[in-house]
Amino acid sequence: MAQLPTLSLSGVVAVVTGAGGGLGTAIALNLARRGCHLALTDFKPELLAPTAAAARSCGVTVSEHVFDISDPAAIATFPDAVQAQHGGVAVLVNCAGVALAGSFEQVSLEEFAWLFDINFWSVVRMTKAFLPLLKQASQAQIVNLSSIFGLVGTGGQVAYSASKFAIRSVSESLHQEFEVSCPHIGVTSVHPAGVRTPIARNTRVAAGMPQEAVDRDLWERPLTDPPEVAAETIVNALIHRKKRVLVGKLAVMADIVQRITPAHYSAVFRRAMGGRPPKDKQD
Amino acid sequence: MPHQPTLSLKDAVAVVTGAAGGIGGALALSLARRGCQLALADYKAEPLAETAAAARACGVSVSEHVFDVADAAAIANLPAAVEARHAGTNILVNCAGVALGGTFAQLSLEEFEWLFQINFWSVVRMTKAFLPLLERAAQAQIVNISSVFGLIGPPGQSAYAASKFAVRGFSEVLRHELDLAGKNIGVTVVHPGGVRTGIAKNARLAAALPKADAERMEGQWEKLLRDSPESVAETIVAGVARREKRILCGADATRIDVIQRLMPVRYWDLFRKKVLPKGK
Repeated sequence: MAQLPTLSLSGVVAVVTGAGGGLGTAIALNLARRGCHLALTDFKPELLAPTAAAARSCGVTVSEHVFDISDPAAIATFPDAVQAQHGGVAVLVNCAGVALAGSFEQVSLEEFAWLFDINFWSVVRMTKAFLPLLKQASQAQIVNLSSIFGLVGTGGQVAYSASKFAIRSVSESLHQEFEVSCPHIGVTSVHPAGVRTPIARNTRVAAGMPQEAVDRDLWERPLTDPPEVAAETIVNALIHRKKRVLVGKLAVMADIVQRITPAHYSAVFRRAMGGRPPKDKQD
Repeated sequence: MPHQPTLSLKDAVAVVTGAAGGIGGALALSLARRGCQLALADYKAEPLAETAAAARACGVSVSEHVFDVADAAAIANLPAAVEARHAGTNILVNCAGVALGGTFAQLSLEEFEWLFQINFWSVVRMTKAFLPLLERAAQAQIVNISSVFGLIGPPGQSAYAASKFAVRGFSEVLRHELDLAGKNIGVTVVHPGGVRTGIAKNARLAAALPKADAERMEGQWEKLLRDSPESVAETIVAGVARREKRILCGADATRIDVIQRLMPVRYWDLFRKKVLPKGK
């Protein structure tokens, strides 16, 4: 398959969801420094405004769109608002996402569905909504944030992992469809690990999870890499129209291990982390 | 890690969704021949009755449960109905599934969500509903039918593949959690390749999909469905008895798995010619 041409970001318009914090903010600012105009969305205006202000200081046009990404009606009207302010879209970055702590037994079906609406359905709905505008661009790229947990599934991430596996699959199917139907649109599947974002601190805790098991400091500990570095890797992958980008050493390692031993990777990780298998299961 | 003890199927109780036909029907009969009692679910009463009759001929007790697996309330009520008839559950086989023809651009959001209700949420809801019963069994196994499209995401299968990737991610986490908790419940995720079932013929077509494209696509996919449901069911049941974590079965499944593991980014380059029409 012919490689898509390098995407020039200067003067084009990018839509970024979840732009109020974490990777979304870092990606937005990275794009702004490269001369990319921005339509930024988040559900918290007080978080979105500073990102937008910082982006504007790079000299690009920035619009702010405050809505809940789990609201299908708000997504459906979003493209018209972006079109009115920017006249088109070349880049769509689906970054909004949440985490949910608790085992499958502790997570309620409502909590599971809540996470899916934000993490998965927002990607499907945003992509559906913006496809007509992306088709009109001379070159366009969709960037979907999956995760290391879209490559491997480990305990305590049941809804999150399922949503990130599903996002990865949509990215792969879309990329293969666009090769035939819209050869100017590429799709990048992003798998970050260990990036220092507020996702652990903001994790919703399943109502069925015992309070004494809640340890946000512990959850935050593996998140050490600066979001700015991750954003640079992601934006470079977008420019070069990469299908898949692994961000962080952990993501690279997880990918290798699951490809070598797809049924037993969790045991490998447990040993690598120094954890002991349950007593009756030691071999 | 050592395997969990082999699962004895004789006199165990298995719940099977999508049991009226295809892989679900064949799995039910394969389990029945091994002496496993069955609670069979499907929304099609008549074909379900046929599967049930064939299973009863093997001398096992069989209950029929007719409901739409997309109905969350019906699922919530099922464990009590199964317990009333069978006094427990050892095996849960989540097999019900549908296909949807059309590209992402052609699929409506409603069609996408319709498929997810059946292929993904039914697995999550059934598992949630039956965990208490499975925990009470001496040994238990959850068997989730993903697909080779839970390994690769082909064009024209965006909703189906997303649902099957989600089933795989869900299953892999659940297995890890149950293992960490030292539970008696194993999780098998199955990735069947081309199996001769009604799934392509019965596929719902996106309202926006042109008729000519639909016929051409159905023909292409039909050609890939080569293995019999009976042979695939034998492989799956033997694997479940051994508490295997991951089962590849049916035409091309092993090859697809190896290729996506070697070439996670470029695998489609090798498959494109088989599926897309010439000249594209």
